[in-house]
Amino acid sequence: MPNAVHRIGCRGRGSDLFLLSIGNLLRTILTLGIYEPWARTRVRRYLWSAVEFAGEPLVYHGTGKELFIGRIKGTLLIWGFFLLAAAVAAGVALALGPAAVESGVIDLILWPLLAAGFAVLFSVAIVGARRYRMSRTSWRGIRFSFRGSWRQYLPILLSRALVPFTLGLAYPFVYIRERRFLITRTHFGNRPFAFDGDGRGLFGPWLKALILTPLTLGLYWFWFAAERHRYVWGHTRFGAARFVSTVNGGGLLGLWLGNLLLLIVTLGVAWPFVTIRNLEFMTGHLIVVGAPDLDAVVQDAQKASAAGEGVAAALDFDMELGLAM
Amino acid sequence: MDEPSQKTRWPGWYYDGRTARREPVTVMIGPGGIGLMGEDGRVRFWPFEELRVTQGAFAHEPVRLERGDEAPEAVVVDDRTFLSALRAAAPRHFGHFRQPRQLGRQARLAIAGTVAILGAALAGYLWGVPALAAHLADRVPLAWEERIGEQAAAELTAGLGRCEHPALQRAIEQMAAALARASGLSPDAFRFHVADDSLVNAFALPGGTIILFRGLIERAETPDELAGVLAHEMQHVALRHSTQALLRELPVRILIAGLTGDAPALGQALHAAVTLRSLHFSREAEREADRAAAAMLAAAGADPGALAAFLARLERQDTGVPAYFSTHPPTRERVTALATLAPAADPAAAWPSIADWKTIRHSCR
Repeated sequence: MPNAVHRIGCRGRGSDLFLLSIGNLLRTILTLGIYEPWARTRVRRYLWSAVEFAGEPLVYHGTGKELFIGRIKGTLLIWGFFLLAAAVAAGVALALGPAAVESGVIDLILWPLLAAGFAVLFSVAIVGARRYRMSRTSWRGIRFSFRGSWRQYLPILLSRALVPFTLGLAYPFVYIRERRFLITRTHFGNRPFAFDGDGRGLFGPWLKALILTPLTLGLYWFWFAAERHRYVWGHTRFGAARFVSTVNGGGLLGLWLGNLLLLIVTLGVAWPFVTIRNLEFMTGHLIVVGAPDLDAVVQDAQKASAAGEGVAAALDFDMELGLAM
Repeated sequence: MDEPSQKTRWPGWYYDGRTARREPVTVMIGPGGIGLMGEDGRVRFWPFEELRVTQGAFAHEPVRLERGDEAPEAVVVDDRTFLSALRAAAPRHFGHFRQPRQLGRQARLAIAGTVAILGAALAGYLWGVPALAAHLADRVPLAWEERIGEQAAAELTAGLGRCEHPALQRAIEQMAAALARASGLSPDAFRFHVADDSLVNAFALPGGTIILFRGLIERAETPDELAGVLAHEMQHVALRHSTQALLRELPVRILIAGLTGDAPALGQALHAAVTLRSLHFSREAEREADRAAAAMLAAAGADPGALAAFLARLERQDTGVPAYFSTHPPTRERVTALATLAPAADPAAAWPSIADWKTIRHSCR
């Protein structure tokens, strides 16, 4: 059955996640925030196991303790970075004297240093968080893993920063480059995912979006985001199996408006319901075509510390579901 | 289905933890563990104490048991009555869903390490940074100090308007010169700005610029009282307290801006620290300046007790806390300390040239 179609299911319920979140909130308050990594872990366990493929849910194996230690490590790393920056700043100020401070020469020296430091921190955070999450995810007893390194991600981050200088024209190429890195370095067991997309494939839609988004007061962006989503999944493979996403702009707009309304009306309390709605939307529109060739997959778990995850948390950016991409 | 207690066998799937294949098994609960019977009739026995429940806490999850550490084997049972039966059979192991919790060696190390690092950081902030600042302050070039001080003075008095009445300026400079010479300092090392504002305040900037507010000058009833304030502020400069405060503040502000993750604030912090929007002297620095000022006043033949009297009167008269005291040690403590330092002197002899102080002090109006 080479063209068998498998759907991806979502079994989560907003009300369950809501109760879970209330328990988490109480405990986090009672422990003055120390419980937060455990709370996050409980939410992830719930969300991971809510996603089901071929009758079998994903399993999240991370623990609160790991995340707690990772967060301490991440925070220390950031403190170390800023201490270093402060020492360099004081040293440079002393060495160059007041004239340099007044004329702004000191800014010319310090800003590039800070920017480089931040770029490294962001790369460590993005890659580290993905490594940790993938290594703690399994399906049918086989672990996922992410095998990219922050050094490989750094040039991608830098090229992202350069996109505005090309009037945005380089965006599809940089975006696809990043997706390719994230997807092809992801493994299930010992087998990598494959990606055969190309920036050129997204260039036409991007030009269209550049023109139509302002004309439609931003509404067209949803159609572009949906097309981008379909393109990325449509070029992702695992063995002989490929993915098809049926997300469309209208659906995405409806999802977004509904979420916005829910959050506004409930003053943000509906967050768990919104999370499940997003998950249902993404999984409901994802289809796997063809046999994933599971017999060839062999367990090949990779070690990953939660330190990068800790940096991500300390920098306060979070892409909770690596699952939905 | 309605009588879960009577059920003894559950269909499930077995995973070997090495491949993605799954094998249908029949799961049975025995006295010391569970048995997994494969289609070939072979039975695997898993003791309760080696099992972990990794799924089954939430209503939408199947029950999942894992065994082993690296690449664990697992069995998954869709029927959730299996979990209640498991709990009934081995309440000690499955009384709660979570894995048995224990504080491992690593966690204890991490906690001890965190406490140690926080302690070291606190100690560094309390003692290390001020010590380093004091050490560095003596090495900062004088020219740099002066330029920063002037820049800060310009910024601080920008919205205030400056009072440049020649008689008052001359009186202040004469007093300062006498005080400086009496304790072997160069009068050229100090510059005085009178800010036209009713604030009762004065402060010293790096490089020798001292800002006096009109409010403070008007409240001084004798030249000796103003001389006390001048001596105190001049000692802050001579002892380089302002530069120390600047150096102490700079890295801490950058650190704070960094920890809040606010990148643009880093630049602002750098600027704010350099332009000295807020200078705080430590209590120790205040005591040191008081002691040195008393010696300076005595050497110049002025009454060191006048500063104490001035401070005490200001505090008595003011209902709110005047700005001059807000970062200083308690006035009572300073007055007592100053009184013990102050030898009796002839108050009339010190400033013969400033006979008409009562007029001069109001010359800014």
